[in-house]
Amino acid sequence: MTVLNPFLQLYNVHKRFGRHVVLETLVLDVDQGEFLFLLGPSGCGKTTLLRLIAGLEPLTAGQILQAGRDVTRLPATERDFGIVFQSYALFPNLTVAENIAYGLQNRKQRRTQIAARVQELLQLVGLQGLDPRYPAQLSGGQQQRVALARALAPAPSLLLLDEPLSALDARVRASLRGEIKRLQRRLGITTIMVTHDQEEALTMADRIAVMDQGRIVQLDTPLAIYQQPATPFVADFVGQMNFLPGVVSSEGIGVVRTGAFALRVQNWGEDLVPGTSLMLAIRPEEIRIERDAATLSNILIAELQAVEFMGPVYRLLLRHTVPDFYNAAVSLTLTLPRQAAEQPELRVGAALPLHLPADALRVFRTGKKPA
Amino acid sequence: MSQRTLSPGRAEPGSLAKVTSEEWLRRSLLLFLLGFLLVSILLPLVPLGMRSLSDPQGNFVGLDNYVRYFSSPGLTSSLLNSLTIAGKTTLLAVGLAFVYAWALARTCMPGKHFFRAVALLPLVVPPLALAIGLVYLFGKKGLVTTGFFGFFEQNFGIALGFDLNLYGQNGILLGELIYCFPQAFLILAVAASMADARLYEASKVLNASPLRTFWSVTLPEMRYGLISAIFVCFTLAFTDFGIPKVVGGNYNVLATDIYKQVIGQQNFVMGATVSIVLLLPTVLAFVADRIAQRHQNAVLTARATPLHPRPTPLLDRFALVYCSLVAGTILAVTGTVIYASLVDVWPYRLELTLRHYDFSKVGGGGWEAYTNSLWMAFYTAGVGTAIIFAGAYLIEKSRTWSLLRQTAYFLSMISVALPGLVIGLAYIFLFNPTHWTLWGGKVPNPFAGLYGTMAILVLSNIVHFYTVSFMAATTALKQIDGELEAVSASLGVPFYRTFWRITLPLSLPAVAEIALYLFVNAMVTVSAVILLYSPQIKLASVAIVNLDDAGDTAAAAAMSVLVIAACLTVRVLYFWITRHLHRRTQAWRLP
Repeated sequence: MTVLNPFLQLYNVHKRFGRHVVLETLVLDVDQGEFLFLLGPSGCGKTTLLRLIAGLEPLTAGQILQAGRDVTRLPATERDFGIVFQSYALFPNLTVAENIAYGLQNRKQRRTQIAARVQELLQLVGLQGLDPRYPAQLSGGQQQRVALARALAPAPSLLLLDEPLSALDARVRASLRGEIKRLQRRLGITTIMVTHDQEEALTMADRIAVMDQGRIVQLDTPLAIYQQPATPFVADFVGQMNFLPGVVSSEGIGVVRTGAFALRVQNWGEDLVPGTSLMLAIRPEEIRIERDAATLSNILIAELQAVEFMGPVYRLLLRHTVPDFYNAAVSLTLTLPRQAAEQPELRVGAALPLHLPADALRVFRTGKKPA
Repeated sequence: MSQRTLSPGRAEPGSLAKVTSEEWLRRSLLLFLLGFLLVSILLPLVPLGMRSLSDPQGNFVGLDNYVRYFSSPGLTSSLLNSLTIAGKTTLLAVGLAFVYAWALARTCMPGKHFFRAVALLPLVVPPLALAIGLVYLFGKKGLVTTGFFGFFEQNFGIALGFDLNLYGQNGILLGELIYCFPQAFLILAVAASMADARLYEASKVLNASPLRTFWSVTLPEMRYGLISAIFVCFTLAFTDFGIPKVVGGNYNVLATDIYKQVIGQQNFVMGATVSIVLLLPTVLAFVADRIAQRHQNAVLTARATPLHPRPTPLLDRFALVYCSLVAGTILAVTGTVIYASLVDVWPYRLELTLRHYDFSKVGGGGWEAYTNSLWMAFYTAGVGTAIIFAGAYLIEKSRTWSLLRQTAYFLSMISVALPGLVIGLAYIFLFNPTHWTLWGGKVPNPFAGLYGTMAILVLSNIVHFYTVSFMAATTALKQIDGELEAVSASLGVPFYRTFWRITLPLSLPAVAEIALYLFVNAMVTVSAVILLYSPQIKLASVAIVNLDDAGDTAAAAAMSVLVIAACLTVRVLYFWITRHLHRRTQAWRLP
């Protein structure tokens, strides 16, 4: 994916701790004013990558350019960025105002100027009047806003957020999400945020870099990543995904046989020869329960195992047996709006005909050659 | 595509970070710290070891001195005596302190604050003063030995006199016991207070008997505290000099042997040899303790719930009686010193007088020695706290030069294994000669000017008490989130500014505690300074030894009281200042 106006450029960046490779060699461009997410499970190297960008950790190899300037060898103090950590990392012995002013006092500004800037930032994060308080006297959400204000105070050109919302409770997290996003838009500041929360990334990001085992496995917009995950890992990590093992059939182009059922796939790679094992994937909300099964293709019968009430939706857990695959039972999950799920035939043990639309089925190769 | 403008970067790991002037400052400070530790802790041991391998003329004789040492029964018996004393003291002190700490932490007995304060009282009493207290209680004319000066015999016709046979093993043992008790108690009190109530509840639910709970829950969770206490007590009792000096009689131990060889016979070679013999077990104890503590994971997880003892009348009463007995003994010994310093002529004229506080007719240096000691303690606290805290900061919070930092850490930890007398003797060898002889050539000693000055006394004290202070500083620094430093760097603030505005204020309680610890120990210690003080700078603790030696025991008691008074005053001052500090600079701690 090409970036038109790159602000931050990582070229062949690589990181090892001793013999342990934390980051495989990677290339990444971040656009001016972009909100980029590093998303991945713990241990995937996302925080290390952020610390490399910040200069808090030396790279093993590679080059980093920020606004066209080579910052690879610069220590953190010499770079231009603000950072917010999960733990807030507020100075506990300084008041809110002193915390925000901490990075300003070093820049030989006049005291009235600093005070004005502090007020401006308090306004920006909605904490007017709290300047004389100590961090311990604030709620978690307020503390994180102070941390954000402190990071933004020297007007950096790059903002780094290291799981800033993970320590907060659900309600505060949701409201702060929107606020950070609005703030980022308003200031137009290039921002990189690390998270393991896919919902956070989907709602806030311009682009998401999904990371796994020290690599960026997919870099794209939230919608593209959700709709066309590049690997089964991405498909499973971002949103929920059902996987169905299958074999390419000779009954026609784009037909996959899974047990007794034939499923047509719209998005078909040409080089798939009959007999190739593969994995079909479909999101829970894309599966439909059909009454008139006979009239439709792409039907699969599965047994209803359990119904879970989730508030606005129900989650249905189903089981489908595929004889060809050692009689392995495949679990399927599908979600239904509440009204649609409150039907008498949806009882545990019932065999339900499921419609898997051809345009919703994705294909992942499993690497196995035809037998 | 912008990547074309980039050249393939292939920087080598070491050369990656650009070294800024700020980083140079940090590195210079680290180098300075390492230099200080090398010169003050490691380097002095070199001439000490060399001397033990040479004859008095300085010719290399291999292990001859050790052969001579181990073939002279008079000297080897001291080694056995020292081991006996250390072993018995450790067993008794740790046992007594364990029950005491347990009683304070796990029962509902009354007066816990009082008993805790009394248990820690011997920390501010010079070990010599403890011995003098014992002399006045159990010596030939002691209060107990004479049955309270025949009080009971005269009035009730019953002789209550009891002769403990103080001079010798009994006296040393009793003295060391009181001396080591608070040290063991301090460690075990922390261990006993770190109980996880959930384990006790689980044990109760599973119907385990109190004894089984004790074996399977209490002991394992205090295991590391116990191991630590055992090594600390062993080292203290093994190397102590003051108590055997006063109540040892003919029972010789290694520490008194070194003193006799060096001061009495001017036999520095044998002094060095005995020092090495004294050093080996303490180094072994140090290494063993380090290995044991390495296995210690967090005993207390973040989710542990604190244990609140419930009243158990029988147990609580037992705890009260037990603690009263122990505390009573400590108070009796300390109280006797104060009383003896005020009595006109013990035991004949019991009128109270202050005449023993007029030191003009006795030796030892009197009030001048006392003032010197106060200054020495003050300098030790000031300079020592600055060096130790800054050192711990550089080691803990720097990210460069990890090998150098590990070396500095190791040196900071090893000083605890060096007995005071060994430091004193090693410093004589390093700092006294005007020239060092190196491979036949003569090199002027750059530190020669230090000898006989206040500076060398202060330095020896800082080194002697380095490790405990260093560990306190490191613990405090570890509690400060490392991300605070990262944030400061991101804001472009140099590390020394963050140290001054954030790290130091956050650590003030620990800093004050270190200063107090250094002051009190510099005040009461005798072992390192007794070999290093000069006639121009006499010291209070040394005066106690010399006054007692000269038979002016009452004056020695008076000097002891002055030392105790200074330490208690500083302790109260510390208490008052920290409370005040708490209100002013630690306001952020309050919700």
